[in-house]
Amino acid sequence: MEQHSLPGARFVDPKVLARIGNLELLAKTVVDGFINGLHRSPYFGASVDFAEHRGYMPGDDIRRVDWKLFARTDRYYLKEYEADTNANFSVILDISKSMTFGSRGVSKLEYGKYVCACLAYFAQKQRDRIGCITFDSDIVTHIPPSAKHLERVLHTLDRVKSERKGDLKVPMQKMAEHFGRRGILLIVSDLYEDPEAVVDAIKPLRFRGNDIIVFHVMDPAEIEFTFDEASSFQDLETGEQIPVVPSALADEYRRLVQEHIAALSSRMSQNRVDYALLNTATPLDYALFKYLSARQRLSRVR
Amino acid sequence: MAFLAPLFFAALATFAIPVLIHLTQRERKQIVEFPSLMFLQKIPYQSVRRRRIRDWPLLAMRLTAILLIVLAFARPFFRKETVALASTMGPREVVVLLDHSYSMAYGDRWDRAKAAARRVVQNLSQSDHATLIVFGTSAQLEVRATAELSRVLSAIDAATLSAEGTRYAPGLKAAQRVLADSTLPSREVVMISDFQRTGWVRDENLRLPEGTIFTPVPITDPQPVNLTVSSALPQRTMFSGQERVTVAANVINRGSAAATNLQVHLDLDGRPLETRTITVPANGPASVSFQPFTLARAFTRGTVRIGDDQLKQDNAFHFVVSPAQRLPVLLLNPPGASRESSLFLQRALGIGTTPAFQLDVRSADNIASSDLDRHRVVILNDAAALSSGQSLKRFVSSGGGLLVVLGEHAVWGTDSNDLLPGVPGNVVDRPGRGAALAELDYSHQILELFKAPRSGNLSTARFFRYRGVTMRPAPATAGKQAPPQRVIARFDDGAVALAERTIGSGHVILWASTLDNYWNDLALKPVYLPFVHGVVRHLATYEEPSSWFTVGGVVDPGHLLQAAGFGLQAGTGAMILTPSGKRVEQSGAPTPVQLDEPGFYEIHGRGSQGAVSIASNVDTAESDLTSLDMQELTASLAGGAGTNAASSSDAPVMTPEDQERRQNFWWYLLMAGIVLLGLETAISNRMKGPIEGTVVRPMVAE
Repeated sequence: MEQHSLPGARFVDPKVLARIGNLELLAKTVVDGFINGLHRSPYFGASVDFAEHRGYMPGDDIRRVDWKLFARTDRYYLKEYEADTNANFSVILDISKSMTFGSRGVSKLEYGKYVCACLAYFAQKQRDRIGCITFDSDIVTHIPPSAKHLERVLHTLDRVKSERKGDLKVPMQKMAEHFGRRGILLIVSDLYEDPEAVVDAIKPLRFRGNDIIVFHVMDPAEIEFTFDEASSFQDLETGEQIPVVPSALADEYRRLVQEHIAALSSRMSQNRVDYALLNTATPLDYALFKYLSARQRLSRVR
Repeated sequence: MAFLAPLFFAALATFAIPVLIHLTQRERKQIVEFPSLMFLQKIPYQSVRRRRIRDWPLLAMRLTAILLIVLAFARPFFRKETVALASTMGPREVVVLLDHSYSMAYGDRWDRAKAAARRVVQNLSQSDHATLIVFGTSAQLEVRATAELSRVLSAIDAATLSAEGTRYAPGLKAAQRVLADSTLPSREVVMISDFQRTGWVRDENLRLPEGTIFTPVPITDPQPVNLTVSSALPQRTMFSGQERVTVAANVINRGSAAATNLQVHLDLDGRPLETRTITVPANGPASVSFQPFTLARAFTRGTVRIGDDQLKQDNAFHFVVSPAQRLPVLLLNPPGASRESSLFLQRALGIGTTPAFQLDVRSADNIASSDLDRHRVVILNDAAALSSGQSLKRFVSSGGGLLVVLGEHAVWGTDSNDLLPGVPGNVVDRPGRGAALAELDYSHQILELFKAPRSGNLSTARFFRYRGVTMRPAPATAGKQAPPQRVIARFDDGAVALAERTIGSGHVILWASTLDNYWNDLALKPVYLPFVHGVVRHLATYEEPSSWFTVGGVVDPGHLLQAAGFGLQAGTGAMILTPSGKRVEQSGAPTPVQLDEPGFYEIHGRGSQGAVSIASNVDTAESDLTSLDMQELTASLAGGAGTNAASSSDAPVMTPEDQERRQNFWWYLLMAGIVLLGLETAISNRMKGPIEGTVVRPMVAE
């Protein structure tokens, strides 16, 4: 853990956090100190912060026409502003069977729950509306975003159980059909699918104008493949077994995992989706800090 | 070995259990639960270790134990019966029944059948005896009970297909006789046939001798297809005074697919006349009618044929058709009588079609013997005996027919002794309601027509006058032969009404009343016409000529020649030309001939100029290639179940349950199985390590 040390951050080991039974308390513990505004509204609307000009389209409100620009160019343009309004923030947590894996005390699912709880708490502090969706091969629970839903979200996260195998395409498609209003979506999953398929699944959400953050949660054993004894490996989701001699294929496995992560990272950034790999051995606040730093940087670029 | 409960063999499926245990369990020492095998599966690595059985002896022990237990539950026992003994009890008497009916010509059935017969004979030992019987509708014993197997093989090679149908009974009866005469301890019948259903008629008497093994060797084809011309019917019509014939034929398709665009040809005297194209539905018939043609000459040969298929023998149907014959009848009225005196008879004989009558009405006093010879039947209608009485007798002796109608003018003296069945007596008057025919001999050909109910009632006619007839006593030499004279009908007072006398090959019929409406009202009744026709047809020994015969049937050449008007001179014989061109010479009186080829036979009378043609066709029932249920045949031959006809109905038979109970093999098998299982458990426990079956779970959150 020492290699993740950053000055000014309180690093709490997830194993220690796991002892806290109350998710709200856990979130408070982690989030405390990250109070500064971290996100901007994705809406353009009536606000004081000018964003850009846009050509007039029939039906637009003529009060929003920039008459000064008309005087200069003899063309109609509208002024658009970035909205300051509170955003919808939804945490989308993968609760498929593969998320139950954990080699060091905290499973990926628990880690995901902590991350979701922390960010939900965090968003609440910013007076955003909080929602939550859990899914495996279909949507399991759905709490629509609301300013009063933090407790329901935390309660739901606390009670989730893994029962089925996972799939991204179907639930994402349903979500895309469901979200009427754009917002910030936090997807927490182990993304055991082809990178292309992952991006294709997420794209519809992105095309609806949502700001998407993807947390790719992985166990250290999945990344480093530290097994040494020849065994039958059983797929947690399908129950399928194959004989594995780790010494013979560990290198090849690691290479494939790194390629997978690199491909995901690359494809996500191409589609303007914020992607971060979270190792469950990494302290939660460090992960949040790292992500939020990156997010702030991205915000400036935009 | 037999089993009392063979269904338990289904439990052999449990063989898979130890194999699966070997293939799966023994190699799975650790199981690691992993979120996804997505990456691992991409790495080309195949474990062969799991698919290899390492402990062969252990597996063999497990399987043997299961096998023994299953065998024990199936309750095995050794069947003690003659079948088992047959193969061990020394020399065998083997009868090979080879079907040579024409259905065996289908595809390569005949070659296969002969090869099967050869195999049976070649497998016999030197001490065995073999018999070869070929059968169709009849059976021929080709080689009888010989140890010289080469003779039997030669006979098999020489065997040829026939045009006969199939009947199993003659062949099996011949086999019965051979086996009954055999002294060898073991007897066997091998029947090589296509086992058509049409050939089997269940017969309770058809049982093979006790202890005989019956082995059917079916020579069949899956879903045979066969097209058959099943009949061709020439129908006569008159058109512009000429006789025309329309041929209607039936074609049967015995296949599961319809025969489309099938060409049906009609050949006349060997020349193609017409071709029709039809569609025959699957497993169904279709009929086709050809354009009518004019009959130019007698014995015109016709053939309806279709193209070749797998069975060619039934693809043609032959027939012979001749212009309708007119039967010459001489009607003699009393001298001085008017022509109208026989009006009713003339009208009745002018109507006939089968046959048509050629009536010659003459006066009885102006007749020469040559006039008689030109006619087949002479009717003496109330006429007295002819002056040339001897010529009349000769006419009858040579096959002519004489009808004597007694009226008031018919005066017979001593002439009647030689000719009539009885002596005509005085006139009997029956005033009032008159007499009726009361005692009728319906077995006679003349009255057979009226035998069935509502087919005509002769008793409705009233007879007011008739002549008394005194029948002659039967000659002492008659013996068991049919009496030369018989009474066919009597009046209600017992007086003779209709009587017959046979002289040589001809007949004399005496009718004791008139055949007009003077003495009776028979002529006014509906039965009059068929009665008169029946009498004349009987006297002329007329038979409607048959268009065709069936192979296997028997024809009398002499009768055919006579019926065609080609009289035979005594002792001259006949010559028969078969369809294959073979000449069969017969000297003396012609004897019946069996038709054994399809086609046209020609019969020549030595003493006559003409020749008669007849058509012969295969039995179309044989075209139906549907197979017989073999179990039905074997059960019927054995009088019980089983492929062999070995069980005896007289000897006490021990049931399978009794035999199994006595032998009690199941007990030993079960014990052996249990002991083996115990042994296997001990060995496998010693071989197995303690880590087998351990599951490693890293940590799984709920």
